[in-house]
Amino acid sequence: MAIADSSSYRDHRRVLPQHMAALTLLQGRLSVPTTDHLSWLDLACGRGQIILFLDENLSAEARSRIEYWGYDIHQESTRETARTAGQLGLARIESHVGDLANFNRVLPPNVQFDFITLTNTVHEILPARFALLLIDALKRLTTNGTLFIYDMERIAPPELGAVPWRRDDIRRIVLKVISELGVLNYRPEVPTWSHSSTTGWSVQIDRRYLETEPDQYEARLTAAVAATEQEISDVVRDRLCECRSALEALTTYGAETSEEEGDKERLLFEFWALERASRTTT
Amino acid sequence: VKVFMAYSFRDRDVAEVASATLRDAGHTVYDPFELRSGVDIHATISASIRSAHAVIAIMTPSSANIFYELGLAAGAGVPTLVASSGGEFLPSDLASLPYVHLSGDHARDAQQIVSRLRDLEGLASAPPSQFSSAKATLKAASREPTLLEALSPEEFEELVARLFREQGYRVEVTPDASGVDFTLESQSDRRRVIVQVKKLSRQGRVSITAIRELAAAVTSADGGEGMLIATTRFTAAARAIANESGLILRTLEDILRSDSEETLLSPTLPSGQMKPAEEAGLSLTGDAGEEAAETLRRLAVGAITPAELEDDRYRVAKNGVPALVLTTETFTSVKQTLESEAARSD
Repeated sequence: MAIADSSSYRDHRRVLPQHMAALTLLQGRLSVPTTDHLSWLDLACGRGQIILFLDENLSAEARSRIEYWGYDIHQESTRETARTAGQLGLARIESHVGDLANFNRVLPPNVQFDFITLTNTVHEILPARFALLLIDALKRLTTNGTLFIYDMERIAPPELGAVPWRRDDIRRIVLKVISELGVLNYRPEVPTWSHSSTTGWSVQIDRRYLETEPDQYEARLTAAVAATEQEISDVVRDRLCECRSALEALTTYGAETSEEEGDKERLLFEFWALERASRTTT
Repeated sequence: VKVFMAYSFRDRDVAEVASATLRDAGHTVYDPFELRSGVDIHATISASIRSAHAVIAIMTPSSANIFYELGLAAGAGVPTLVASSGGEFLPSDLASLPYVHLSGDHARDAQQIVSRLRDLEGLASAPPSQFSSAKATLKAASREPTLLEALSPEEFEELVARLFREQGYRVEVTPDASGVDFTLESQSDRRRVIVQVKKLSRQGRVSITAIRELAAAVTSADGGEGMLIATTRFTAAARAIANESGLILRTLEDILRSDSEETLLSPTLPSGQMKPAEEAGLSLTGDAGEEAAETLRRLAVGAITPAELEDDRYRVAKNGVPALVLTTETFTSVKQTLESEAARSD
């Protein structure tokens, strides 16, 4: 389920820094001499912004080893992405259309990926579905696969229904999944990104550190869904409580600065999104 | 020479060439477009201009902000060089300033700017710090607004950390983007307090956003305590949220006056969270009339802070014990504010 205010971004002038981070991971993987092919699932690929400058970031030889799968809810966007990908000399191009939360059901079963990216989109996902999406993505990783997620902490202008997660929320959720898998010594970093107009966060999860018993990997992930959903529900509840307090204070005392005036609007958007989310989480 | 480059984003092409040329010539260039999110832009720009040896203003018709920055430079007495392609948009007030004509050839224009910079009168190195300690520097800054304005947010933050070290606290600086500037360890029971320092412009107020960020940082650090130290006042909403979250709010004056750990780290004193007057057991003694009662009400909701009160015309007692004093100036200012509010509501 998408939110109406969201729109796909395509900037012909530059590589976004978060995309450059993902491409750097890709460069590293393709530089490994034994990598004769690499399957890449670009979840919520939009209009193909992440691959727009792929010819400048990877050699033709490296690109020829990439099997690129673009997935998005908008058919027009996936077509545009496929057109861009078609000019890059990739080994294979697949584009699929569907709701992000359903990607695991839309994509053919038993296809796994060395690299999965999900950038600038987590705020659009209904929190009740985020646990399953995260876990489905981890299930789709090859044994040496990596999941890279990036999103903004604040959306400007705000989008109705969007839940922009904070770095600490994501850290809490990711660590919950990992602890449910029984992994004790893996704590992926969740850094904050400072852009000129907002802040963001990213996380990189490597499957090879998640497996305590390889044959139990999928079963343990499936078992972790309910606990992760509960954690997300708790995060939503805490955020809603915090949001309500801030709105209450601004209602009582008024906004004294233009920053607070802006906060009022942002908090109202946030309140609606969190309240909506709280009705659908456990 | 430290140069502040004032320009509109639309003029970034020529500004970038000029900045690169100036850097090649050994100058330090401060570029406001290199600021990252989360930084108080006004305070940082103001501090950068005040601490610059020269300001170069690239003027075009899209340069509304530049006039503000030129005003800051003029107020701070910083030599200024205007670079412009000319035209009627340049006000006559700027006609006498040193000038470089922009030809459109960015490389040539940049060389002209570097050349003319050498001829600016009044260029001098910033005076070395004349204060022996962080406390002395901060005390002087709290008394002298121009000194405070010239400190960058980073310099101010560093001075506050040094102040606590001088007072015997263990301070651990945390250079990350998590909204924490440093952690302070109490001397008595070794409890850790996450500290965020805000250096805003004199007229600024700390908003609810900063308090929410600090609360998130405290949660992220797996609990503990949080303290926000600011050069300015806090909005009433910010105080309310801080009170609810158990965060400590302090102004620069508060920390300079704190003579004990208890005073510094107590969440209820002195200016952090004032309860309504009656609930807090506050009453007025001395020469206190209706104006004083109104001031006390505003004090209670956080519209003014005890930190601003120094003289003894109006003494405020808490449960019979003198707790606060209000200045005549504060009363006058509050009265004027109330009168203008009343006039507006009429």
